[in-house]
Amino acid sequence: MPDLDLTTPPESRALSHGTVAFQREVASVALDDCHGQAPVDGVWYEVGAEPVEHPFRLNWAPATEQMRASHANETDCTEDGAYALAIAAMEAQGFRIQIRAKHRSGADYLMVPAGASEEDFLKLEVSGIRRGGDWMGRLRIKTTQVRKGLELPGRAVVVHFEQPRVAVGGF
Amino acid sequence: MAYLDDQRRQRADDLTFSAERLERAGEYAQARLLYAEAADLETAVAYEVPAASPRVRSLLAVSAASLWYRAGQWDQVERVVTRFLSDADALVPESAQELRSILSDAWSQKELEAYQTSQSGVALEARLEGGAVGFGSAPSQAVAPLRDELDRVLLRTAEWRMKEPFRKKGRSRLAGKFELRELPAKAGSFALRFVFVAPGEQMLETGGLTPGDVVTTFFTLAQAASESPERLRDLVPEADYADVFTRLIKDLAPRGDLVKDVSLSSPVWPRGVQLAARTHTRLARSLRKPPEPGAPATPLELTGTLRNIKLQGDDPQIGIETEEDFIVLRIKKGVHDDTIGALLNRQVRVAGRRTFSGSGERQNWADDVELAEAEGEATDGEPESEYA
Repeated sequence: MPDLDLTTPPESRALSHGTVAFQREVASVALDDCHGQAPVDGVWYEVGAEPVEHPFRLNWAPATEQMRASHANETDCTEDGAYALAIAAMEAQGFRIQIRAKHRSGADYLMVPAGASEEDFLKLEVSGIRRGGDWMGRLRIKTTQVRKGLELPGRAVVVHFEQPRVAVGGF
Repeated sequence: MAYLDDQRRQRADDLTFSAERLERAGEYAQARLLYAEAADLETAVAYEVPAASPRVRSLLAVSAASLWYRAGQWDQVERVVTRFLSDADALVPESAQELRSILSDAWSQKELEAYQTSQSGVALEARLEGGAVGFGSAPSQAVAPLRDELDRVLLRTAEWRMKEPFRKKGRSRLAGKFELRELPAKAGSFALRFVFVAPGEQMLETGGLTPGDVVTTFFTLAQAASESPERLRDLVPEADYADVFTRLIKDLAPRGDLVKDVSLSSPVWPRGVQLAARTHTRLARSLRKPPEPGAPATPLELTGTLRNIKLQGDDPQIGIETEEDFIVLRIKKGVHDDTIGALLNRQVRVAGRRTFSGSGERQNWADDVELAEAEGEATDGEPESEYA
């Protein structure tokens, strides 16, 4: 699993600059809250017949006081910040994030494997946990959720900021 | 050609992102303008996608229709959807169905707006889906409480907006100043439709608070509750009001297999609020009081028939008849008045705690009392954890 650096520009040209900047800003608030400063070592976990775990290095830009004040709602911050890590992680795995999904599609984003036609998109459902909790249980729920809506293959990603961990499930 | 990478699409995403921020800040009119601008761009790209790319075409068609819906432009939704459905073979079947669903929602909102104009009130709709809800029918035991709950929560919302002292008992003094009137049902789905009005010349007595103000506030609270109990409490700092809103919105949310989802919508809140079984579970959990630090207490859960209710005096209580026993539980004054009356002589589920007073006397407390459905309680497999 490649290292994740939230300070470098994202690869997906389809996402708006505003969206990416916002998500990375809130991620930095959540990560600073859990770790104080970058970088930290994280774990990539992928569900499968034989689960896979890989270490990775996570880097981010420090949050300012203004950012912390702007994103003081922990629930929103965790949810929005999770997108930054999930998208960076899926891009590192060779996917291009193409579009925010809409209206009961069963997903947050749609992405395309590198080199594939944009017709071959998959769903991406993201969830975040700040600290504690049951990331595996959450992953099960999100994997079930991603099966609903559009009948497409998909990935569910749970980001645990404290550990930090990026857990992926799907079909 | 890569339609998903089109710069107009990126601009549409930027505008959608900004619109969502505005909605969170309560700037709904401004948000709708941005949604409309995003919809225009998205529609232009969607129209260019050939039939040979059905998935991308379907994706962008649903996206464009959704954005027009969020912009509150029902005629545009109709125009876009009918154009794509006229060549339904070029769409994936689920997306064609989704487009029909968006169009149906848009027509519903358009009708509600028409009622709103004619009745000088604010229209709202509560749609029941899933479980035992069928095409144009729903179990009466799920429908009847919903009417009463909406009436109660709207009056409480009005009281809160008017900064009235928390009403611990009795009828709201605003009953009659505001009124929830039921409208004819729409064929084909199961939805309760209402208009919330201020009959007669009541504005002086409501301090200028309009039905629109009350309904918008209610949706703000319901949206927050659907996200998390904590978010609701962030909006309502008054503990008594926070408790009663948590309880009332919990009772609006579906509990078991009878109904899976309740969708609330109104022209003043086009995106609507979805209340799922998960909402009910989260809100119910939040009502269970943790034991005070240092005080011995054990959780208490029981099921039985609610036989007694005593709300007067300083020590309100309820009596539950179980198979083995008759148990008296104390309840917090003023908290259950809106909801407990309807449960008398019905099978209920009680969540609470058993504590010990300073003199060592054991006391049973009921923190939450809700109807126990025959089909069983909704479970969504969510662990109790801090998550988003």
